[in-house]
Amino acid sequence: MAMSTMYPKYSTKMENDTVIMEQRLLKKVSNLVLNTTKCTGCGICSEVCPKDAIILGLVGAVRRGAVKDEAAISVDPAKCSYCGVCTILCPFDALEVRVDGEPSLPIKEQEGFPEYDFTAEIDENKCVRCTTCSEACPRDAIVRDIPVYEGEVADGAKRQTALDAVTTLVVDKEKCNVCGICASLCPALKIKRIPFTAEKVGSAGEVVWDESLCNACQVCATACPEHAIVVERVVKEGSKLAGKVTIDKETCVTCSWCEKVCPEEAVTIKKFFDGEIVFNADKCPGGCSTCVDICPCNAIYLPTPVPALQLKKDSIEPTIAVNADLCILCGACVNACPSEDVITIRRSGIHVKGPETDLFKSIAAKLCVPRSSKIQEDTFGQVELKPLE
Amino acid sequence: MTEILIKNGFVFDPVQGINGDKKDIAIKDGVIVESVSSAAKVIDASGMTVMAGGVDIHSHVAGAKVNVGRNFRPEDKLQAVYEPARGVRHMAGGNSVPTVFKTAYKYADMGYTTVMEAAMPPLYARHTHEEMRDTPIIDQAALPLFGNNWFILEYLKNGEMDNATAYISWLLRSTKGYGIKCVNPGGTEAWAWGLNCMTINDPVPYFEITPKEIVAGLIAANEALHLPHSLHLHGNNLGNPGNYQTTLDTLKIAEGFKPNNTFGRDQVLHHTHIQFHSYGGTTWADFESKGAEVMDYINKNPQLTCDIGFVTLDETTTMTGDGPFEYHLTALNHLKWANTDVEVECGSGIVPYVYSKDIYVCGVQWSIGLEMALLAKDHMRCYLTTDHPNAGPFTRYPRVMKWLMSEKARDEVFASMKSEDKVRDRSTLGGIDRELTLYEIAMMTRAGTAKALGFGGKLGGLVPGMQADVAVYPYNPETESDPEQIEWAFSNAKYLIKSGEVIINDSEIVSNGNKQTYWVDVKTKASTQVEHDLSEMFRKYYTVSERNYEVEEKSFMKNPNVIAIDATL
Repeated sequence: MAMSTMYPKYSTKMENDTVIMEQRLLKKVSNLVLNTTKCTGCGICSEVCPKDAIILGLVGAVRRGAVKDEAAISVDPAKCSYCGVCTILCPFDALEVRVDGEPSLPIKEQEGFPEYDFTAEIDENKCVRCTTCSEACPRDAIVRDIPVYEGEVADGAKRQTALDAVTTLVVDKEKCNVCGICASLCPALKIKRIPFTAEKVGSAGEVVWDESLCNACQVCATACPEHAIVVERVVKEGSKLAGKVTIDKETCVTCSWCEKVCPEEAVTIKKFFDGEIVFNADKCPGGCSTCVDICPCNAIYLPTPVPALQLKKDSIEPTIAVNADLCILCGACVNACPSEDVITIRRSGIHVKGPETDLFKSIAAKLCVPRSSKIQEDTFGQVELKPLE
Repeated sequence: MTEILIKNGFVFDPVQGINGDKKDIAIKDGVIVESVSSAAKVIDASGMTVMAGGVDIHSHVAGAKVNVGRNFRPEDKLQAVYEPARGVRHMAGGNSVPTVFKTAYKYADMGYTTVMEAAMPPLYARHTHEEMRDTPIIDQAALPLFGNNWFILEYLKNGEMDNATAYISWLLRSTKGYGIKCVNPGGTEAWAWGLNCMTINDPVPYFEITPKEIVAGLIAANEALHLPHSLHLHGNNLGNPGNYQTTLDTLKIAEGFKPNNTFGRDQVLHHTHIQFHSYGGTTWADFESKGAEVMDYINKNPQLTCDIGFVTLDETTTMTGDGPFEYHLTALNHLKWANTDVEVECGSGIVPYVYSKDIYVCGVQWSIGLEMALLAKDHMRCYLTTDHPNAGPFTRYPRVMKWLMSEKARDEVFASMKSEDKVRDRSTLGGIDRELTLYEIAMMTRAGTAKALGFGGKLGGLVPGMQADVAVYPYNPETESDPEQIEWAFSNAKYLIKSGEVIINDSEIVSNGNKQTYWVDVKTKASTQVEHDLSEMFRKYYTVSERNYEVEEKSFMKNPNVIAIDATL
């Protein structure tokens, strides 16, 4: 067999959570690796591919888990040039180019293409290490490096260690009759008793206190029959939980949930796309909610029905709605929507850092074409959108 | 055809002003005539009372909720054991919710020949018609419910009277209905959300229309359609202390409307079972009658008619299109409750109820009905009903007649009550010595009801040319003095003739008759808007298709009698 028919050799294989596209030359092996758990079906890779090698498939069904063994996108390993533009522009970090098994982005290294420029920061001074942002984040991008306390898990760190405080416990030895009640109530207190002896019958000894175990709860002071114990705690001004809350920029998609919910206004997010998203609920057929299920930012919601008592003709809730403040204009909803003209996105700008090459400019222009979904597509089995001008 | 001559009876016919005169009634070919040949069958009515066949204006005798009542109350049959088939009679049973056969036989025994089914859910019209088809002897018609219908709420809110009338015309034709019934306007739709409209100004959720606007709109539509009967209304806030204010507010809506029909009807609003709507006080503790106030207003307003809904002091079954009221009732008495919400159209509820003489509230309810009937100035506008079976089974009509005609009989009931003084204290009944005459009873049970329903000139009287529906009661008005005889005689007609056919001969039912079912086919201007809305509503909101909705005469009705009206003229 002639070499020309053997090389280059192309293949695609699915392994657990990855789809691996491969171009095998005689010595060099190039791979494009898709992480299907990270892929949201947003379609940016498909729009930006210089070789038109990527198409979108059953976005809604795949993201909902109704279709197994298939990814939201499929890449033609023969058309793909393994350039890495998709890898650079994927907001979800779902694609990776490997050459001979090693991550490789020569286009970036050689300054042939810029990367997203966005801000995702938490002001450590303002942050009080609360739990709000980490629970609200739809991407698990908040790194909450804080000790786990006993409120969360039974064997967590003792709650008194959360405070930067000085606690004192004073036992009035005159009053103390070494009855032992305080020690029987609290692990921070022990009785060092002088052993009972028939020689000198009585109760004597001292109370020993361990500050690290004391949470200044005052139970010992209150329970003491002789009122011999005084507990005081002085908390240092500005005491905060130990540790630090940060945002993992690899995972963050700039939805800004954390910024919106932070009670201390400690978060700053600057998105990587400018633009607008508009929902036309009158055209939504209802009963679908695919967009809600697949939105990587949890920005889409089914509005709550108005209670009957307040129900008026013009107060019927829309079928579908978006909170545009939380949207990152990724486009997954438009790709998944089975209806027409319900969702329109218009990107007006892309924030990047690095060289804005001609290749980038032509790609940016494609990303900025406004689009909506359409019902009847020309090619069966792949998403086609309706470009709007 | 046959000729019949009813000789020598005491005739009571308010239509002709005949008040107990001894008179012969001649019948030929199904109608009353001046005279018959010597070949006529002669019925000797000497010493007996002769009246036109009774016409019941409001009774729940057929359809979905009646049958739920029968189904969920097997114990009701224990109060009246099934009678086996005998002669022309089918097996029959049930007390407060009797079977269709028993319904017919009992009405016949009472000398009634025409009964209006008071509340037909349009979607379940086929059920109603199937039961009416299987109810022998009595002529019937049914009133479809409109007061909580989405089309009506929409059109009336938008002031689209032409669309409202075109829709009503379509629905009457589709359901083979007779007129416009309205139950708890807006409130039953609110009940679909667990709410209610307690006054005439409470807006309906979403539709933002008030009961007041619904009632006014339906009266206007009724007159624009020239229907034989008026709007037949069960108002808001039924059965609550203090509701007489709501009732007066409701009745006032009819001021300024004029009847517009060729059927001899003079009212624009018929308020049904008004006894339940004439309550004073603020709670059941200070509950009292406001029957005098309500009847005073009706007496002064000739555009109104009413029926009473007399409480008969029985164990019975309540059933109404007023869903929220029935829920309220089950919360009061903790007896079983059934509820059906009907898509787009209406709702209903069913709860057993015991009107006990030992409970003062029931005693006062009993007093209010009688008080109102005795204070009525014109019994051509005030009718005898029990809202069967809500205030009591229709089989008690003769007992109600006894109470109306005998103060002694009323005093006996008072005396048998546990809280006689309290009951007497809460209404003016005890101070009323009026005793109605048979002439007034004939107004309340045939002449008046026939006129209000638009059957004047055909039913309710014994005028030559009228349909030959005649009842002969074994009651001698000149000699009888025992009030018990009233009850017995009017429960046991000696003879009953319907459309010229002998149904009861010498106290025995001898024929199942040739019952008819009336319906109204009213022609209106075509409305493309209504056609569009119908197809849209059936497509989007109904679980049945538009083409499968109509009640076909052939399949569902026995002897349909169409009353055709051209409302475009």
